[in-house]
Amino acid sequence: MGRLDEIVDKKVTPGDEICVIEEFMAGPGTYEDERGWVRSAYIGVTVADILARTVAVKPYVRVPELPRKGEYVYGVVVHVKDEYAVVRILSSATGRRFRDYYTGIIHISQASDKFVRSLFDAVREGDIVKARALTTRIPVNLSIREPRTGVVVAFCSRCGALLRYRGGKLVCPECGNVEKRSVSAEYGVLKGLI
Amino acid sequence: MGKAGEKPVLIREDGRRHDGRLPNELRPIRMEVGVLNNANGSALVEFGKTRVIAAVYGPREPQPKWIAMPYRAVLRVRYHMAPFSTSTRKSPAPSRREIELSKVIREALEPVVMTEMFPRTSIDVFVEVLNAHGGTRTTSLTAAALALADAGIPMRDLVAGVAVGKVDGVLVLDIDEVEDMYGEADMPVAAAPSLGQITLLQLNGVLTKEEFEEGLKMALDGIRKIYEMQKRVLREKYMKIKPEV
Repeated sequence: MGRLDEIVDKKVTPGDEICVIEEFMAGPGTYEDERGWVRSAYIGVTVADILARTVAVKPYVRVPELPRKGEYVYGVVVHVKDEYAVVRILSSATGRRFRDYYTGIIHISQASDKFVRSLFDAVREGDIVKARALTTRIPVNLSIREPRTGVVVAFCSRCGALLRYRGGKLVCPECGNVEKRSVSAEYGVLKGLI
Repeated sequence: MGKAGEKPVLIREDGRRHDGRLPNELRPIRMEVGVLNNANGSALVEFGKTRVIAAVYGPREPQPKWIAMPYRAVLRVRYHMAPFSTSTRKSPAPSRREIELSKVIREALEPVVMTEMFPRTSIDVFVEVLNAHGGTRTTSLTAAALALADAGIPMRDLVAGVAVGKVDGVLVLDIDEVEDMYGEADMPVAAAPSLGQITLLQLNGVLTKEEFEEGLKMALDGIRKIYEMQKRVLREKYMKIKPEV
């Protein structure tokens, strides 16, 4: 397999020829030019998938990532209206920080599996939510309907203290204020972030 | 730019140039990637005394938001000369020339950056000229391409640039400030060498058809050399530290 050795495990920079499409089709990190060559798009090393007949480039650099469809993410609520809330998505739920923040939207229909009269009953400005990305386009549509998704950190809207989850309610330890939220089953847990 | 004083000897009797280079010789080039900690990608490139630093941020949400494009990322380039980069202080406000060069550099990079992979975002490239001594736009372009690759932004190819000039009737590669000031023509060229595509071609001055063709060939040969240096510096940065993953 002399030719395979020429293609696989090669250190490449953007624009380097890897093979022709008759040998391997362009996989992740590669592209096909107009002459039918598969070329690298990143600085990295080539890897071939013999079964799928594709070649990919495993990047050595940290490549930019946007939230993927179906992925769980953490974000901060920056703006709330009756029917939608704006979220600044900062990291994935695995703790992988995004390169920059991306904007997400929680619509009232995605706020809870129960009836919600106003989104102010589900999230408030400053809350940290765990949400599921429904789309990949910016603004990302988010859902907090699932039990594990929803508000994971909330602050008292009267005095600003961190709210505690006690007996199915969010209670302020400073002023005793009781607040309504669409609370996640993981309230108080920020996996991989802190 | 200094004042036009006495014209120096640009081509010496032995055929070498005022700084001792042969007509088709590049200035000594130094490249370094990953020089800035807080940028997603960065590069420092020196062509002789010209020194340029480039930083890439993104893809990120564009500000103002209305510039976002639904099907691709917007590429924004800011070419700027530091006030101390020239012999007389340059006002830090962007001049007409800097605004134009920002556009020219952006358009030279757009064909190679895969902007369609990041819709509704912006990729911001900041190029700062630390010392200007001729050929800043081609140096900037070379640095910007390295910084983009360093930022992990998918690219079809790297871009390298070099200028060809005519001084005292002789075509010379990689002209510096003196040759630019007293020369007859200046032709910056940038290309994506692996794809064989020219992404920037400007010409200031007058060249005959034959001179143009010869000059373009010289420029593309020079670009090929710079391109190999770009590849080598990227390999050295990433592939020696982490030989196998």
